[in-house]
Amino acid sequence: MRIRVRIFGEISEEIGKNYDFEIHGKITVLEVLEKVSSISGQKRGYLGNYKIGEKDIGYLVNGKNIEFLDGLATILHDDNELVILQPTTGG
Amino acid sequence: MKGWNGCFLRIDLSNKKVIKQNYSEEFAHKWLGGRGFAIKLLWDELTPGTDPLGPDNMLMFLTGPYSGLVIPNSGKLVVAAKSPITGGYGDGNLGSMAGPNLRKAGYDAIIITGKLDKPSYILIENEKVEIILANELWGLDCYETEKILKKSHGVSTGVLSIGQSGENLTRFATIISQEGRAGGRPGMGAVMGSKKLKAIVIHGTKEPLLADKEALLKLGKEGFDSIQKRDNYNFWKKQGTMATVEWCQNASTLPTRNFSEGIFECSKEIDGNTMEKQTIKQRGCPNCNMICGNIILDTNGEESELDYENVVMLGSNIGVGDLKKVATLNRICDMLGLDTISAGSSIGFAMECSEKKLIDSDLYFGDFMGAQRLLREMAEMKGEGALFGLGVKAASEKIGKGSSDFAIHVKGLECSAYDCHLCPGMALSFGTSPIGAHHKDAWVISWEISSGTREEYGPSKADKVIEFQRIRGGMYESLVACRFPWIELGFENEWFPKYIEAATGVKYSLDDMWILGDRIYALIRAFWVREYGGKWDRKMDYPPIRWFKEPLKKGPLTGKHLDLSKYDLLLEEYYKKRGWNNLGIPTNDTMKKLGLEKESIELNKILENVK
Repeated sequence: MRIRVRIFGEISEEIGKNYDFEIHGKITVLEVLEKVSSISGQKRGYLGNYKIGEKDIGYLVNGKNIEFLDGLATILHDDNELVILQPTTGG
Repeated sequence: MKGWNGCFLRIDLSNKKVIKQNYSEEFAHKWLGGRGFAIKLLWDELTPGTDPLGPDNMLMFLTGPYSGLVIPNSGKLVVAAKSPITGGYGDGNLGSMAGPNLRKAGYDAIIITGKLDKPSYILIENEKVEIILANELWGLDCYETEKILKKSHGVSTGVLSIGQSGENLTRFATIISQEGRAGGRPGMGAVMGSKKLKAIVIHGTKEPLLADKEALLKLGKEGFDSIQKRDNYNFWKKQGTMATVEWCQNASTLPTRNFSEGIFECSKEIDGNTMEKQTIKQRGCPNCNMICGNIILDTNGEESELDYENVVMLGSNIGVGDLKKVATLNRICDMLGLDTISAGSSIGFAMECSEKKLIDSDLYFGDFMGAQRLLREMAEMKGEGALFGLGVKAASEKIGKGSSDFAIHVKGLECSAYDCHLCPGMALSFGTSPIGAHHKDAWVISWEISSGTREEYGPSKADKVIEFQRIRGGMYESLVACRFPWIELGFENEWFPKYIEAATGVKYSLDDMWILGDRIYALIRAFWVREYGGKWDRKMDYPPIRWFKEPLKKGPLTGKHLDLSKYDLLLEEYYKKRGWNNLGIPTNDTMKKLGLEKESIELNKILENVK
């Protein structure tokens, strides 16, 4: 199955903006984030300065925050889009 | 006095009388500057019930203890008065050479009362203060006005002016400087227009006396260097506030078609990435090395300075999905002196009224030509603009037919660009903002969404709103310092007491700053209650009714909306933490603890009329 990852904001300059994964079998949000961290050469368990799992960055699956799903254990399905949304600037 | 000049410039326009008034160190220490000075002066000197557009209203331009010095982000100026759009406390800030020039002229604030017989402008050159006839400027836009005045008085002067909207008393007219630096959303431009005051030109050449100039220069340099070394500095420089368009679209908080939805199908056409490709130059405030104004060319090939708020309110909120068109609307606002947030909200409201056939109009969402026409009519207060230039609250009261259900405001001031169908913390921030719905004080939305607590109404939301209100609404607005270094780049708050001490010699801790913030909030709230008397109601702290009554109909948050009973409990929690009663009014104990004993006696008299 195909999973797309899109990254917004300043961390996208560090870890990239887009990833496409072909996955066989079941995969969770956490596992995909660890893949992105690893591929982009980040410190294990981190995306830029953000530690995966800490409540300072938003993760959306098809636009829905994982807080409304099963958190990092949310299982992804074919053609799902995972968005990584760091706190924004602007206000 | 060190740091502060210790002098107000008072100008009575009716009698053409100018007084240079020294004020006490005690006053300076207790209220610091900017918003702190403004509310204390309004409380002490403005007669309750004063017509905001009458001669007795006080129009004030205020600086802080180190404004204009070579310290990061110190080039701002607060403008304050009783607001003609809310009837309560009103203020705003803008970055302009007017602030540094005012300080160098030897004054910490200008306090203007009265009304001129004929349109005029004020020229301040150090001790010299003149009121000069400006018949030839009346009717001109802000760009033309500033150009002419700078030609007469020099390019290094600071110029503050109003456009046609201020002259014609559009209730959300602002004051403009340097082609697009705008301040005073709650109608400060209309207050200036009501006094027939077209502009203020300021040129100063003196230096304020400082407690430790050497230390201040060293700290200033360290601060600039520290900002430049921050991780996200380069990203900020590319998009400034505009990165938020994409973020809000993803979070379903992008105001769309009069705040009916949180996602916009053309968001990519107006976002920061699109802007980056079109940016021709950047513009910022004096003494700033993280400039936020990005300039692109509009549909007419003219320059327009964009940021998140104006792009969203004149873009997705009115259904316009083309950045150049948005830039055109934005430039018209800046030239005419219209607040872009309230203008965008009023146009969106008018479009919805038209589509629902509540008014006889051909406006529709996405109507670029219609939006341009309505902006000009609002600035002239003619045609449809005579109605919508009053602001959405007053317009909905005149239209009736249920239109108040989608008039997006708090206390009469239109909401800035965050849809809160599912952001109770940000809704509380809008609800309790001291000027009506504005994000300047407690911009908690980024925290609220990133912390994964969007559906929670717990006490942590009230704590966060108060924390932000103390920092941003209390400390920064009184120092007259920009909030961006802290909120955007993590520039530590600990820098600010050091700056104050080097400038003034007075030691403040951060805890002192939070008490100052609470003191200012309590007195601003008391001011609102004094103005509204028996009409004061805790419902005035509610966010727009649409977010409770109409769920989102599109996107991943379809069906979501705020819960009124839960919001009311959150509001109660907020009041308790502030030491306010269940009507949202500071208690006697709270007033005393904050050093407002005298003010609490007057408040008590007013409370006899408040149920």
